Amino acid sequence: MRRIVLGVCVVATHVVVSAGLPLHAGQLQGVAAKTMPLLYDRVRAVGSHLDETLDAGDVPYANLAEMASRAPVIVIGRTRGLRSRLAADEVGIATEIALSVQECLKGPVPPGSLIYFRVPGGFHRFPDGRTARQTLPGFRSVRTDATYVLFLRPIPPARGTPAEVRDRRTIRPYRAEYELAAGDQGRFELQVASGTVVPAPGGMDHPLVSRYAGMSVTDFLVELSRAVAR
Amino acid sequence: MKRVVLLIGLITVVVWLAAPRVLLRAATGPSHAVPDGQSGETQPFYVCDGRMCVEQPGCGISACENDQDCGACDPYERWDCITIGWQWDDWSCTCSPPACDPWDEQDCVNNWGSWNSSTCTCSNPCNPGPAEYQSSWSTTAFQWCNACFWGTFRYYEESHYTQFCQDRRVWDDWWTTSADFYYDDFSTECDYWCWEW
Repeated sequence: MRRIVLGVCVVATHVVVSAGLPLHAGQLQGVAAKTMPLLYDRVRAVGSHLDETLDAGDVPYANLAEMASRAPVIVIGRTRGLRSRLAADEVGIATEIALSVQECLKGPVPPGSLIYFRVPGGFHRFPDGRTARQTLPGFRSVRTDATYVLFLRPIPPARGTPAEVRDRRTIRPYRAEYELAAGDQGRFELQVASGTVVPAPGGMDHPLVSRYAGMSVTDFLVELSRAVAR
Repeated sequence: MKRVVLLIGLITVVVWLAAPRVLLRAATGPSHAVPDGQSGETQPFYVCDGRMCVEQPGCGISACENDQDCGACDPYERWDCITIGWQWDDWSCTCSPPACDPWDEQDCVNNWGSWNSSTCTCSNPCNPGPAEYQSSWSTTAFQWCNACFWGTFRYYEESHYTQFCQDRRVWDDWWTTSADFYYDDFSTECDYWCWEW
């Protein structure tokens, strides 16, 4: 009997310890993320210029219907300008893009309005001349003066005390009110010259690429309307 | 008996010839549903669901061949509208020109302002002020590699300038350098910079 009890205790201890380790590892990762050094410190550590790649980390979606069900705002418009900035937490870079809306399929955006959305990454030059560039591998970069279908969501309001929020706005007054709802995969360029669709992901292994790359814009717009109507 | 065999053979040939076309029609969508009977019914058949033409299983009379039959807009008209930079309303299927001057809007973007399309006004654009001198660093007579060559800077100065918007947002910043370099000679001490060059 004693042996059985001892055996059960050993097994139970093993289960508890092995279950606890991943949890601890996860917590460590969380702490590491919170204590990520500032971008300037990372640049200084390597010299005068830092090149970093970002991880998209978004679940790949299979089709427009799935994307549409998860995006509160869907618009078609033309990019008018873009500008990279150091993010408010000074850990990364964000690029803000101005878009002139030509059609709103979902959400409260009137056609003809100018909206600003942001994407992660970009280029930044610090006052001392040091520079940093963050890119998202596997995705095409945003072009200006190009037509896009965008699946967006509003950026949640900044957190912090009123004074902190005010200070952040004063130091870096961002324009962007929106971000891509499912990451960069929610960005499709409609090419005027060829009349075809170019999804933002570049690799053929992405389901949205294998389904929509090279599709005629008119067929794409029909499917988009159907996806939004569902 | 021969006639019966011939008749069966003819029927087989006719069925064989017709079958692939019937299958092809069934695969290509609403306008090619298979006629089934004398009353215009097809299998499957298509009906309007909102502004979409959707397939229904079984036999029936199709009410539509494509989404346009159900009130959806012509995708070609829609794309033509977007390509010329106008605005499309997919509910009323209308294309309308921008109410504001697109050049004013572009100026607003270039100045990183907030554009209000209902009033055609630009708020909070950046009016960059003059370049403001921030700091500088200079030295004289220090020796350094310039590409492969070891030499002496008789004079070297770096200056940092910043341009601010009226609300002190940083619009641009840059460094300028001015130098007067005297080449002494090629030196092995500059090998590293040679490779870099």
